[in-house]
Amino acid sequence: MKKIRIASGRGAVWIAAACAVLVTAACGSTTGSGSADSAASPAASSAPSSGPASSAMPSSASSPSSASNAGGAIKVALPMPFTGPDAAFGAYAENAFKVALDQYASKLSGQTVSLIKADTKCTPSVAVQAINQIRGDSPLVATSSACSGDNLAMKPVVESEQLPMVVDSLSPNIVDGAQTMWQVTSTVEPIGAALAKYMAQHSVKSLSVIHDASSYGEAAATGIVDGSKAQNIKVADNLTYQLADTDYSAQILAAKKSSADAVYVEGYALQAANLIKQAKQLGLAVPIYASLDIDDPAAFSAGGSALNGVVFASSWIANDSAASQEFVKEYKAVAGSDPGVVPETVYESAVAILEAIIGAGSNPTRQTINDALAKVSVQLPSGPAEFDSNRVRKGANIYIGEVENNAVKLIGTL
Amino acid sequence: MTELIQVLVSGIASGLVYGLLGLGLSLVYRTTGVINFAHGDLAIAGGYVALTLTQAHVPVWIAAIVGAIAAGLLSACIERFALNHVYGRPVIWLILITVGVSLMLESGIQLVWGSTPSSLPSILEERTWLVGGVAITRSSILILVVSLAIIAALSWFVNRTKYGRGMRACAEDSEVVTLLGIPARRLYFGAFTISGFTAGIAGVLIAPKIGLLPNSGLSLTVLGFAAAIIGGLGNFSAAVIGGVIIGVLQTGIGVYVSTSYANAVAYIVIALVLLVRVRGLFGDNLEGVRSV
Repeated sequence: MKKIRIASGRGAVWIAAACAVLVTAACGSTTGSGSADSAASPAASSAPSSGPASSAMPSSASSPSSASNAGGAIKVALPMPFTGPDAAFGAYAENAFKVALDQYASKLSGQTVSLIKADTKCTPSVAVQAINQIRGDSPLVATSSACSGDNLAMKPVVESEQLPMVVDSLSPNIVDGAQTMWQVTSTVEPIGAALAKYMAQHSVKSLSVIHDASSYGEAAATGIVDGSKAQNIKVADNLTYQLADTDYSAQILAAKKSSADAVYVEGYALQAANLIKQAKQLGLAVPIYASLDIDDPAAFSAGGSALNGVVFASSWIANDSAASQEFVKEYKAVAGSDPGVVPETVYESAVAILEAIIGAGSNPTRQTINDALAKVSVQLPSGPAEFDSNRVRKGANIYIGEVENNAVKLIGTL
Repeated sequence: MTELIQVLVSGIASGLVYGLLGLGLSLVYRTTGVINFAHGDLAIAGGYVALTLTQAHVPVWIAAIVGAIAAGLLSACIERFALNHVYGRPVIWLILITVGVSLMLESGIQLVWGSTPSSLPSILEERTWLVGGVAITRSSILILVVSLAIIAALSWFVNRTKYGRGMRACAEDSEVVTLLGIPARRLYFGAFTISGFTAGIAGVLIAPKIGLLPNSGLSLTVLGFAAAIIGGLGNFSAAVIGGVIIGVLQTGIGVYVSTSYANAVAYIVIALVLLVRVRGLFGDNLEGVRSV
């Protein structure tokens, strides 16, 4: 037998360490979107000379805003994470879009809508590649990614293409200054303010905040911190974790050490639920408040009875309105499970887009769809929807809910 | 004082799982010289197999055992079909192949089980004991018992059996092992199978705590790798100590310094060990062995 050649111990270990660093760096944002998201400023994302922003400049032959469907199907772009740790968002989005398309099939006067999917992996640098890939298909309108960092990264391309995009992620200021971006959901600022108000009403005087290090996590934490300060709630701690963490003891014990009246846990469904479960196991006895993803079936599955009594604020919780009930019923028929807030926000984006397509007439262009978005007035599951002059939705409700036996109980609307 | 003891208990509980992952990585490295980057994915695959069985109403503990065995079989397949034909090539080839296998496993898991986060029920019913104010969970005790049992079983196997001793000798000279009548490739196959099994055990132990996502494997590999490096790559029982060191440091720094720095601990300690003592705190002098 041939003798097996093995590298020297030091060499092999260094090679392996280098591989670990490279692979972790390559996938870092997929395992913990913090680092990638935090580098997601539009400038940074489009910085390379051959980068997306410069290559995304429209050709001089025709203005992008005049792009039309030319008698074919109306192309709607759907840049979403379809792979990676947040791939569930992509699946949610497809289901939510299907519900909206089914509802609007008869209202589109024979026009057909085709979805152009592109995988952002919830990673800003990949999102830029995705929007450039989509650009080649000349969509007339786009929904956003569910990941705020993706949307910030795609913003320069969207602006240069004058592509109308309806944004359903929750970080604030994404649509600022972009003439074709429309914020359809409430952002974390009013949601944080509403939860802080609820906490103040329930005698919370000091709060320990635990959040993930992604840009969304940072934004959500800022929302609750600012809201708490406005309510004279002292923020005793602002603790972070990475989405890829396997243990939250450090954060929980640090929160216990702060002796705050309550703890706010921000995170995606799985991480937030696991963190809360572990907190209960470690004897954290104060009331726990959470971010809106805690309404996801994945959170219920992970957290089980440990989530009972957790209160959260959200842009949407299943409520008595006809639009909400219809959406829940039809989503369940399509997906086989109750919708959480993520599919609901995508659904709202889809409805706004379809309303605008109808409003744009028989031969829609990017420009006419963008103009039509300004005039959208529709009843959505979270309340009435119209956009203000800054292209931000006005009239949206904020809901307060409590988890009870793997379901959400609506306890207030603001 | 209670707080410090709680930090130690929580750190040890999380670190033991890192150690279990490092143990498997160490065993394969010791025998074959390969650092298996698909190791964490094997753990996740074992968790998903167990999840499928629990959904079919198989008792959780049986599902966990089957999940661990499935991870072992998967690891055996990786050795047989992906690595067996490239032994003798530069080690970077083998390492890169395991990186590729890791990506394939991640995609395969997503294809089979989808991308929605899932959760595996705990093997033991969740219960917490308060001992002098220190919270100790049943799952922590289970992890401790399982880890000690695996270390004991592997120690016996490696030190007292012909094949185990062959695995140790393989690291020094695979040709001599072959001359002594033990086919080296059979040892490689065995090392990967056992390593996959231990990864599967780690997977079914940690999945109830962190949930299951198709791409979680890489972070588990990195933690296991850190544990193995600190303990001493090649010394599998020391990998468990390395894991505990990481767990306690992460928790302690998170509580007493800042949670923002806790995650950097594993990487900083790896860098320090590689710079100062490449064979780890308790590792054999493989570097010296291989330079002969």
